[in-house]
Amino acid sequence: MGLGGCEIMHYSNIQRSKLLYSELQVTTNYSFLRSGSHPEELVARAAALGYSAIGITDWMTLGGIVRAHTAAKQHGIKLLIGCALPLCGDFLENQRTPFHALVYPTTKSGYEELSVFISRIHTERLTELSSSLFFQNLLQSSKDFVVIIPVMIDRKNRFSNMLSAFVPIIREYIKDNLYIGISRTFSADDADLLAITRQLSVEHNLPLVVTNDVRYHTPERRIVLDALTCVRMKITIQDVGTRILPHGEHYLKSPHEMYRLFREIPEAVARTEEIVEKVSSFSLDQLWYEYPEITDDSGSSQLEELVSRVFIGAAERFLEGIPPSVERALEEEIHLIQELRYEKYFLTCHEIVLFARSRDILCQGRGAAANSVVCYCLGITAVNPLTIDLLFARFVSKERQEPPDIDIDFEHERREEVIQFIYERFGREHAALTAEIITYRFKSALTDMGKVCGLDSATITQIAESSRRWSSGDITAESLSQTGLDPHNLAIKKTLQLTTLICGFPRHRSQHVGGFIISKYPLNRIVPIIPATMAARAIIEWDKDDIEELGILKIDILALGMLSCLRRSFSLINAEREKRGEKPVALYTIPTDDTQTYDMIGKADTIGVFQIESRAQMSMLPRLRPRCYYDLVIEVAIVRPGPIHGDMVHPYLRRRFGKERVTFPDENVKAILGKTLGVPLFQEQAMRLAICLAGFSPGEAEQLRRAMAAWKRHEDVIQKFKARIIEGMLAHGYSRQFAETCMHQIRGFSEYGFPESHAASFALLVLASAWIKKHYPAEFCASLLNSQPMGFYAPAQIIQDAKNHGVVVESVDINKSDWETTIEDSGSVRIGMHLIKGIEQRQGELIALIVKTRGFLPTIQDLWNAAYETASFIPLRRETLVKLAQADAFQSMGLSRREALWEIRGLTAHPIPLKELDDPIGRSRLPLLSFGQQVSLDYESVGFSAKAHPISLIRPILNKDFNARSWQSIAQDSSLRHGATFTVAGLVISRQRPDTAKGIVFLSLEDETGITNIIVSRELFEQNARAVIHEPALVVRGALRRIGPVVYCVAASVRGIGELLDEVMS
Amino acid sequence: MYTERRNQREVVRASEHALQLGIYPHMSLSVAHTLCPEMISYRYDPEAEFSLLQKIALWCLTISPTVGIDSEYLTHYLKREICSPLFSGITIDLSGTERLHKGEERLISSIEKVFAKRGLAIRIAISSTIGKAWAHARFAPRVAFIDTSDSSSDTLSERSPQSTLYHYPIAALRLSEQLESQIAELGIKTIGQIFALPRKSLLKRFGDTLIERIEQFEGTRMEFIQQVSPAPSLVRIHNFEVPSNSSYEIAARAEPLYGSLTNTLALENKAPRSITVLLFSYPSQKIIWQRELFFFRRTTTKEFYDLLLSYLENNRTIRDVCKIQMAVLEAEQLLNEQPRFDGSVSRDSDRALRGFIGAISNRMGRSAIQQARVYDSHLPEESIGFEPIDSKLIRSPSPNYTIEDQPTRPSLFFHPGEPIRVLALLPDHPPKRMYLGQQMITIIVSFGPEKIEEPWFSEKQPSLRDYFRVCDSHGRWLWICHHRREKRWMLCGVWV
Repeated sequence: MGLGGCEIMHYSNIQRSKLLYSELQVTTNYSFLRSGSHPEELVARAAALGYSAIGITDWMTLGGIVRAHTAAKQHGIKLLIGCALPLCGDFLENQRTPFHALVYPTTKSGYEELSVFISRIHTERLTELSSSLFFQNLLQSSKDFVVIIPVMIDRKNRFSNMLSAFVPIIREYIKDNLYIGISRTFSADDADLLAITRQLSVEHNLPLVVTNDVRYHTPERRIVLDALTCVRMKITIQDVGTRILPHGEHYLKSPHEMYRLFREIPEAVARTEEIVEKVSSFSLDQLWYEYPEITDDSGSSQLEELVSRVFIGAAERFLEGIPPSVERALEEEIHLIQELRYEKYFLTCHEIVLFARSRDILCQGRGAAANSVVCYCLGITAVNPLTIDLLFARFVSKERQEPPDIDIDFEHERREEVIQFIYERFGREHAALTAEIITYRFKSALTDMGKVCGLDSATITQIAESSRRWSSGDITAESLSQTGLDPHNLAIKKTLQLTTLICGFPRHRSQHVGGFIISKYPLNRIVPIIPATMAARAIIEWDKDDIEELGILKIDILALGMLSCLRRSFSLINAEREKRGEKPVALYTIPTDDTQTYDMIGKADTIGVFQIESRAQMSMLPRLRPRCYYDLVIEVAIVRPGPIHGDMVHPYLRRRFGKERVTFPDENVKAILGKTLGVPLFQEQAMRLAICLAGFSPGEAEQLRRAMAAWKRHEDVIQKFKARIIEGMLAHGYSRQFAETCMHQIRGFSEYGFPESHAASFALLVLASAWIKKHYPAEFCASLLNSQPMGFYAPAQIIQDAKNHGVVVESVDINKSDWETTIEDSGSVRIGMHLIKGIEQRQGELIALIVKTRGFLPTIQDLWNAAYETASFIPLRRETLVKLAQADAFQSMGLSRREALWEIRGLTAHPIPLKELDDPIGRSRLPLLSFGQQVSLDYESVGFSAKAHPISLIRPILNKDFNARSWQSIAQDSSLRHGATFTVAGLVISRQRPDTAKGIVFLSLEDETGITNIIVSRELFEQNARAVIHEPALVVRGALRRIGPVVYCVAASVRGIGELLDEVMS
Repeated sequence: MYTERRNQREVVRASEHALQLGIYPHMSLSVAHTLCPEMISYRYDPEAEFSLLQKIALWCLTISPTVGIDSEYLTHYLKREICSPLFSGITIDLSGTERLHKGEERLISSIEKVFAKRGLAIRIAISSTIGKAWAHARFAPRVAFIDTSDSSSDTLSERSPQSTLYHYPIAALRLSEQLESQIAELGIKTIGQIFALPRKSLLKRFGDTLIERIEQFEGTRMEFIQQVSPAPSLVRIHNFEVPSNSSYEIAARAEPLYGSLTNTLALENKAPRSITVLLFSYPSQKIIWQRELFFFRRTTTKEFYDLLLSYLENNRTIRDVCKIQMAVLEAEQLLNEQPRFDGSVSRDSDRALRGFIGAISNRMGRSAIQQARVYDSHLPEESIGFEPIDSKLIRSPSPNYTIEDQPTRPSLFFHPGEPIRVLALLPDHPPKRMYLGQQMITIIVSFGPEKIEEPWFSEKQPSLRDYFRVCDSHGRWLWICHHRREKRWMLCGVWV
């Protein structure tokens, strides 16, 4: 090791041998708004330039290293994992380059300390490092670092002072591994910079090493960095001035170019290889982690603990004895778990589920591993594996070496309890959520780039609104002109150019919807943990793809509204059953063979039922006519873009009803597609086809699965896999036609496809919700309303549907309603105060409490006085009473809306004797509301009216002027044959125009008797787009279509009747 | 007219025709355009609206001495809020002026004519109380309305429902939007309905604001007009008793006029930037001398005297001056300055500079003196510029960015520079020899390149420049530039 200025090595000598140089200062776009290139691009470029290694030094983060690691392995170069850390100064501010050090761990322990150190910076929210003490802490923990301090020249000589302060401290710990880094700034000061650096090198006895402070992989990306700098500094490009660099020289340069630029100090260029030698001994592959151990006092091993829990659970689930087939499956699964050492993972999941159960939080696991017998016995899932035997084979793929996949859904309102339990149970240093890297999409990119280019917000909004019609690639001058924008405007042109360039760039880090990483050892030693924006939450710096790449296990703790609804339903039902002395029902005791439930599903009478309530699902139900649990699994999976785009729906239906023969080329295909009649409907089937028929290795199949998601964007990837699959199938003796068909079907999964394991779990919830709807419609209605917002339908439609099923629904009333919707003793549903817009829960609960304790309240003043006496902490607000009056909730007091409002406006701050308030003269002079107005105000306040359906108000006019009939009378009129024309009118409750429907619009109209499903052809829609999109109510004339018991209408003409309704209701 | 609110353009004012087409305030401008594609929209300018109202109000002073802009409008305007167009109006107190105008009909008719001549449509009403007049002006069936009903103390509820006022909406009571919606919620839509309710009950429910409006409407509670006053005159005149031929006397008489003008402007923390001085001769009363004078910052009366005298002294045409007229043409807002203990705020050096700049500006025009300014740009030709001395800063300089930060830039800068030919060994290396015309210059020392790319935010492809500091064999330091893309070399500066 020599000094920068003393070691003599001539450029000409080096030229004779191969020029070796590795870049040691590279910032990727995971430093957020500080770089113009992705890690993959930088690594690929470095490999192309012949670098032996590349050092990633993002700004206070290790967020981009996994991607760089993957790319480096792919391109066969070494990745040096490092980080740029501030030495002093206010480093969170927008200074371009504060004094900093490039820190490279040389061992795993060094890496762990670096990760902990970065976590501390973020968790302690340090904004200024004014002394060397903090940095010293890092080096005290581990000495396995190489530190490079890049030279920065400032006129106040602060750098020299800073170096004098830091070097002795750092050298004390890391001795020979401290370097001074020099880059060409290409400013007028460069000569001075080199001279001063050499002087400092001698002065402090520090070897010199060359870097290029790389911010982008090619010079063309300079504009991206400049634009992102403007975003970071919240300034326009016109005003940014000298805050951006004056040139685009910070790209990856060839080793030859670097030697030429630093011809005075070739030894400093060559020294990069010396550092590569020191640092490359550590790689991300050395990281390993373990699931936490679930300990108890018995001292048994984790596997023994798991086996014991599984068999206790099995005894509970199989009350009549464990069937032999289950025992066999359990043996197999436990053996596999033992072999792959996943016992801790399953125990962790069980711990979480046990907690949820102890708090009466309903949960349901899904995913490949979740649908195993082990999970069924542990109570992670309620799907009985005996009902779907195929799933045993998809338990945990030993060959593919992919981590087990368990997602657990919890009640959406109570998931936070589970999350906080995980933090408390395993410790905040051992558990964290996965990150979600929010990347620029077209609209966000347009907004930021528009601001950078100086466009006003209104113009940006105009482009954004207009761009809905564009796909990202075809923004032409014509399409810009059509929207009133000048395509030749420089700011607009540059905005669109930049927008295209930065789409896909990381914008900031957010938290994953529910992916939890739990570790035996502190997690911050594997990856930095940073606090999330939400209080009491922490996230790691890597996203789900990163952790999957490193084989780290995660559990998805997800929220599902239907589970809240089911838990409420079970409470209401079991309370009722208890009174009758019947056994309580639970998710796993729902009968899977209830004919009445399947009949209801077959009629598409599924409003509110989980997953099968959308228009598309409802139109499929009468065609598929599910009769067993597995039919529901198929129903859940079949109405997805994947099977639809892969043309799998119609072949399946034809085969199901015997219109097409089910044939298989051989037993292999039969084994894979047998259950789905030769048509691949699930994602797993697509992958197994690739493995068994095209000879894919498990690793390739895994690549195929990941690539599927990106197929829409990358045609070249499709072509690569297409050729591979077809060649593989031909080689295995299948016909080209069969291979092409399979490829077409697999390609369909590039759209959203459903795995069978998830569909199976969802199907159970479908079955449970349908069963409750069929047998306990009132309880189902109340639970659905109490779990809002969820599902496809608004409360009005849920209530109307319940009424159509014979449920009596009572409107909200101050003396009778609780905060939530309840079931009255008579069995009718009493709407709760929660549906009234603008009322706080605490206020509603206070009123319910007052009524419960005081009994019936005859006047508003009574309520006001009682609240004054009762609530010392939560005062009853006048606004709450106004909202209640607007909802007509004082009927039991004999007050109309306006009368109640009159009374409420007269309330004084303190309670007063009753008579003083009574003002019958004033009250009697208030104008009365018409019936139509009352219905209208009901809708305005609560979203529905128990008094009447709006369409019933105009029924006489509809009958007379339009010859329109109620839907019930049409549906039940057996004289109306298939193809008969009729007219129907109703409120538009849903409009859907799915991409898969080729321009067809699906409408649902609701009248006082039921819901009509209307199909509007593309031509008719284009002629009446305004009415179809904007009108709140329509009159439709069309032809009747019957599929079994299901009747719908194909529209021939459409007309808006919003004005007519307005007249009656205002 | 529209304004921008939360990234949305929103209609704030609409013409009668637009209102009929369904365009109304608070509507999104894009929706309005959809309803009426041929619609013409302008950005709403509250200052211009206020200024117009003020001008109209000032004109109305010719009708009556008591005129005011509606107080609701003023409240919103001062809070920089946009108020409903309903509230923008002017109130005139006609008490005692009836004879002057020879009847209310004639007055209304003449006012209508005045506005029609200027293309302005107005609604106008005369009634016994401000409240009623306000209501009639907005809601009467005719654009010009005279309430001839008796203004005695009978309340509206006792009148027949046929009364015009009875059917006016409750908005005619000048209520806040919140109060109006609270009352409307009870189904009360017209003034007649509200007058039918017991006053005590109304007071309890809606507070005194409503009762105040009702009583002001009836005339049982006093209401005042916020009097509009004309802006102070910025013209001063002095008439000589005996025509003067003395420059000293004219300047001495003009000095207090200037003092008076500066004092008037000082009330608004302003100072004159330019004034015009006119001299009239006796007996023709014709202008014999006219001059526009510029001032740089605050100029004292003494300085003004000296300046004026310098113009008058040698002018032989100025004879028999009978009148001096002086008017402010332009005023500038002054910055608040901390006065010294002696009360003065200006520094001596500033005074000397001010005098110099004033003298030069008046001789050669205001653009004759320019000030050097440093801008935040990498490009040398854009990093420094000159602007008129009294102009506002167009581009803001970067903080902490001064000329001292640029020691590497030459003291004499040429833009675009002199073309040169060079002999350089490598593309981004400094030249060994250069030719300026026929002159050959040998370079012995060189530094660089300093790389500067022109901004990419432009139509043309940005040029890539390499600047070199070179020293020739005569010891001269030169700044030369290589335009890489155009393959041109230029001499761009010299250190002297």
